[in-house]
Amino acid sequence: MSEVILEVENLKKYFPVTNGKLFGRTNYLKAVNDISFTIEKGKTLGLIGESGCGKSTVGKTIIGLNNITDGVIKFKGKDIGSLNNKEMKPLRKDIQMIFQDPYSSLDPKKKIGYSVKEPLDIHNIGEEGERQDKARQLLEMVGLSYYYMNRYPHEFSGGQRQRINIARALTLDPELIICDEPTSALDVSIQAQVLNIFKQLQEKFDLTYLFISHNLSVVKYLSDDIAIMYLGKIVEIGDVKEIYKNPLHPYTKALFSAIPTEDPNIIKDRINLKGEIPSPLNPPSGCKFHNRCPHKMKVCEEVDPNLINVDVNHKVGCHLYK
Amino acid sequence: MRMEDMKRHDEIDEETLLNLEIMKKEEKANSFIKKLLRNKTAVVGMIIITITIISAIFSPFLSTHDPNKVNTEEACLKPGENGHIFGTDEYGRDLYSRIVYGSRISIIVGVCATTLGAILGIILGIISGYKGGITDTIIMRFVDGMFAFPFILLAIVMMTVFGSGLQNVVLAIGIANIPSYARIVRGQVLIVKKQEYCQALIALGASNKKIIIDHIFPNILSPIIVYGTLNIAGAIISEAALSFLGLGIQPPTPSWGNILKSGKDYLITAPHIATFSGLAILVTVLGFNLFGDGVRDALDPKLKQ
Repeated sequence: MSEVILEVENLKKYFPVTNGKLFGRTNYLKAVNDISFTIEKGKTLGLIGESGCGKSTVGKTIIGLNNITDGVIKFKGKDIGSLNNKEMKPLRKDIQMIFQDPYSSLDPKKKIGYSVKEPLDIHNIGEEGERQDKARQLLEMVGLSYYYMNRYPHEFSGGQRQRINIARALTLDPELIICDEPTSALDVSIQAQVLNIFKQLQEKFDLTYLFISHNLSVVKYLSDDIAIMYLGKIVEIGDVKEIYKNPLHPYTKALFSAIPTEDPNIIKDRINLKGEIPSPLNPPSGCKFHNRCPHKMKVCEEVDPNLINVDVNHKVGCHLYK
Repeated sequence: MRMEDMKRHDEIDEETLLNLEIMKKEEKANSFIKKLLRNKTAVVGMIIITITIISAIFSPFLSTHDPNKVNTEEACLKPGENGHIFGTDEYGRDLYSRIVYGSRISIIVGVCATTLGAILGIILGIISGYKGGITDTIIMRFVDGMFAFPFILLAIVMMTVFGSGLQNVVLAIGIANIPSYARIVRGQVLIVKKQEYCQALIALGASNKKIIIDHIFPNILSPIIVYGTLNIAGAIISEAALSFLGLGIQPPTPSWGNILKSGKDYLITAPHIATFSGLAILVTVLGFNLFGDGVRDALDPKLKQ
């Protein structure tokens, strides 16, 4: 077993929601409710879930854009959740994030070359000339000519911008990159291009990815392990091949039944879930999925199931498996 | 790809050099000034502003008579009569010279009051928008309070408290302008702060100072500059209004506002007094407005002819 680079234990992130009155009651939106996972160096963990299930919050909390409500985040054995800004700064070099929207993730007033070299400015690494060189190299690595360094972001297409974002994320030679739906704003042909860049870079620099997405095919292509989230909780986690072959949680099954087959003549059994994802402000009791689950039992309404091992690298949180 | 490896890539071939030259040329062609000069209305605005500024600086050389010399025998002469280009006012003072000297007041008040209001407003707006929370609430409620006061009333109160005079006119108009800047800036900061590039900078560990100066400020600058140039026009009008009401610049010092004021009593017998001072205000204000629009277009990198 190789080195564990990121360890998340019982992470909770609640957002206070007030009703606007001065002395009104504060409710808590449980965006991330007690999740745990680990990522090994050089591997990719795919985090899948519906919109609003808290997957982006996980990413933002790990990188320190949100404060942790409870739980521990360990990066290379060091607890980073409790560090203040100053102590965190040297560690920020090693963890980078690629954002979802390629249009708002680059400063429109700054030239591409500046945006890509800026992380070096912030961390005060190297001389100005070296920084420029590095930016040029990085852009060439993601398939953009250094000639573009003096251009502004609006002169690029979405795919190009996302490649610029990748280049910027690589500027500080990070070890872990959190990818928050980096391909969801791109069309399919560009997605493939960007995904291949991700894969090549991972091999080249031994990068570790936390890949957040709602696109099942994308995650399958990139990931070594996957975790499926529902309403702030991980319902199933394990080896990607194992889970795609043998999904156990009713939610995972329903999710995977929505993947179109490659052969249009094969008709798959779709599992159609009823209802909407419940509001995280007022989640159901017991198992969070019980009100939409086709296999609901009495116990589901009362007890929230824990993740249990069903195989060497496959855990599921469902009362059906004991 | 560590720094040491990078140094080996220093050899630049000929093609690179050529491309670098093209890059430099492109950069030059798209500089702010070039873009501004390509815009015809902005050039017109610039010409008007330049004329006003020149007349403000070189008033003693441009004027034909002493602006304060009273000559009752020549009162209310028509334009062109007796060597008075714009005629004379009710005391026989040369109107052209008075308007030339009046441009000094207008330019000083316009620029200084706007700068004062903008600086204070930007500081308040950035603190309010960037910090958020209780700081934001306190600053914005204070600004709301100032907004609730009608501008002229606020200026009148301040002029009465401070007393009249050039400095106090600048102070009153400047302070009265703070709320609009604070509002505009706060709104812009809130938008920019939510953008993913700002989030990315926070994730990179950039200091608040760097984020505000290098990223937030340039991105909120265009609306401020546009509002600022339009605001110069507004401040010129405000000064004229205050002087017209007798609260601003006190006679005999010529200002376009108090010339207009004295002209209103002679609208029938000597309409040229109010007409020329009014035109001076109108043209100058128009110049700043045209220029403001041009600046906005030139500052926006998305607009490229």
